[in-house]
Amino acid sequence: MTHRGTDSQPLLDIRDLVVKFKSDGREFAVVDGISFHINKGETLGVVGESGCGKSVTSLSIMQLIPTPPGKITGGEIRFRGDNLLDLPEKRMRKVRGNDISMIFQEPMTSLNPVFTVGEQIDEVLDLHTDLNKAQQRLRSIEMLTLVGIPRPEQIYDAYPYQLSGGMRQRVMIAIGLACEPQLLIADEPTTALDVTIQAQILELMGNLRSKMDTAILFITHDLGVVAEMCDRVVVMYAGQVVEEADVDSLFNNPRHPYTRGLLDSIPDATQKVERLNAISGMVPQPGTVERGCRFADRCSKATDHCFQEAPPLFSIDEKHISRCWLDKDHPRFAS
Amino acid sequence: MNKDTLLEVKDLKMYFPQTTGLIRKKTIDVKAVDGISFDVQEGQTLGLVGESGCGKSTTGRGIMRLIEPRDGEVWFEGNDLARLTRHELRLKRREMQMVFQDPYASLNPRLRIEDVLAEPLKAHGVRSKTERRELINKMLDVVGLNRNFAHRYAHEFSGGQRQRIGIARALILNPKLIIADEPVAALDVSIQAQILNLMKDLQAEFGLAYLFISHDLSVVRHLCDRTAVMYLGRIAEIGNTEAIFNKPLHPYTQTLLDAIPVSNPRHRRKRVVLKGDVPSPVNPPKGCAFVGRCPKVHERCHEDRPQLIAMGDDHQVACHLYDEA
Repeated sequence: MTHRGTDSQPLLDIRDLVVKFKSDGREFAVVDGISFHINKGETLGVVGESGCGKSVTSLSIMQLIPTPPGKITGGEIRFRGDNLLDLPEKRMRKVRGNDISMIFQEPMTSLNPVFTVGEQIDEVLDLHTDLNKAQQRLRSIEMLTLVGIPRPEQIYDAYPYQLSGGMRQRVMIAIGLACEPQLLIADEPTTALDVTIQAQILELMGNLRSKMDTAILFITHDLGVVAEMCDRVVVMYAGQVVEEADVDSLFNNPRHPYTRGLLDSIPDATQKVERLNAISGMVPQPGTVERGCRFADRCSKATDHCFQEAPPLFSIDEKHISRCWLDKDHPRFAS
Repeated sequence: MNKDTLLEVKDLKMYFPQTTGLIRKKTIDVKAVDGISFDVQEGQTLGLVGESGCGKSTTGRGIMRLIEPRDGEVWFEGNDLARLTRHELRLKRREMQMVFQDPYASLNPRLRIEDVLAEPLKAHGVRSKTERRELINKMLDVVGLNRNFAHRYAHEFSGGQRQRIGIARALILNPKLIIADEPVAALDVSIQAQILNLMKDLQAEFGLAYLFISHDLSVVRHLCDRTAVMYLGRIAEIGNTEAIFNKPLHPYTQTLLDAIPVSNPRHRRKRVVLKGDVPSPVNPPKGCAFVGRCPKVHERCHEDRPQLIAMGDDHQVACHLYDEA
């Protein structure tokens, strides 16, 4: 099988995931047959623009999709071999926060304003470990130290509003890593932060990753962050995977016109360009493209064929796939 | 004042009084903007860049007098805006318009787009309905929106389209200066590129000057002729954009540039990561504002506030590293 590491079993393996949302009596597939995997200790980036389904995918892994209106209607999410979608809620609760945890974009809204920082870390430990109160406190302070919070004993008793955005995100990471999960899902963890604070948080995540051997699913729209942090990258567009590759190939040999467009759209701080190569048009609403490639109407390389028939994934090499007819001479990817 | 100078800001101070103490009797000032000066030439773009809380947005609002400045002068085409009466200011505002960050919050959801665009025209005395309609149609063409969209409401549009509407609203009075406060920060990259290209085209077509407020250095480099880097209410470095990006002098500018993730995995590097957060403007350090985070700090920096000094053609920096030489 392609794309797999030498390890026989990936840590997380998502296959043909379909998530539908109901709106105005109609159902739309917001995630439409997504497959990817993460190996142990690996950092996988998932990139795409608003509405591509990247956050819905991550919420599906945790089974935090608001139902209704959302519903996982197909596919599998295998974690260490077990399909999470088959687990009863009681067992799923043991997985969340313990085996897999998640940090979000907005650290203010994801922390509870009426509990102290310490109480919120203790809560995770209380749910998932046998530590008593005193031990929980010690462990929480140890976690705060680990994520680089100054004066951890005092911050333990502080409320979230007393902390800056960067500090709050450090607390979120402390909560996320308190039980030493095997997988950390980070959904735009630095998007709300200033660039110097972002650099601090990325450095921290990089250090913790090597210290704790945690796999990270890094969801972001920022290709610079991906280049910096990730081993492999999945590019999503309109609910589908359009390209997947190791980080070097993706940036230096992008195949899909959408990936190329994204890379060309970013202004560069290291050199001046007169005009950006913007992708024209905008992302289609879910369910509006009835046939053909979902990117065709924005693609400068689209042919009649693209509007007629949706492209499958083609294997460029063993680590690189692309959903574009331009690569039709390559073998079709068999997942 | 230079002949082509459109806007000149002199020693602008924007303070927000805050009452504290047991019976709220003590008043202290939050010095959001603490004495900054710069100018914008006709048809040029000045980028105002810095992290949250540095005072860049407050500066924009102070120039428009959406918030009254505590002190300082704002010269626009020979008038000190800070001294104009409400009525005179209103007439001048026709020449300077704003575009805001959040295209969702800055358009009234109960108005059709034609009404959104008609408001500034009505406010500035374009009474004829046909004339207004003509101008609105023309403006929709200019910003790349379909004329039929005029009858729709804001919620029917995507973020990029809404920002085009926001730009059309600013442009419809044919201003000379647009103050754009993070106009692309809420947009996806592919849409961001479209809006940046549009802003460049409009500048060339109408000879507009922009004061472009942004936290994104890459965007600033792309769009701006000159750049001012702000830190805690003051200008740390100002000058020609190419000079600032190619040869940043202030340690803050250097670390700021260094902190941007580069879109190339082959260029991963060990960077100097700034320690700590921006200090509070309620109680700023006595000397240089950057003193607590600066990797090159001297004793002098704690006591003495550095002033801007010229370091070559159109390049000034406020740092003690340079004032002996």
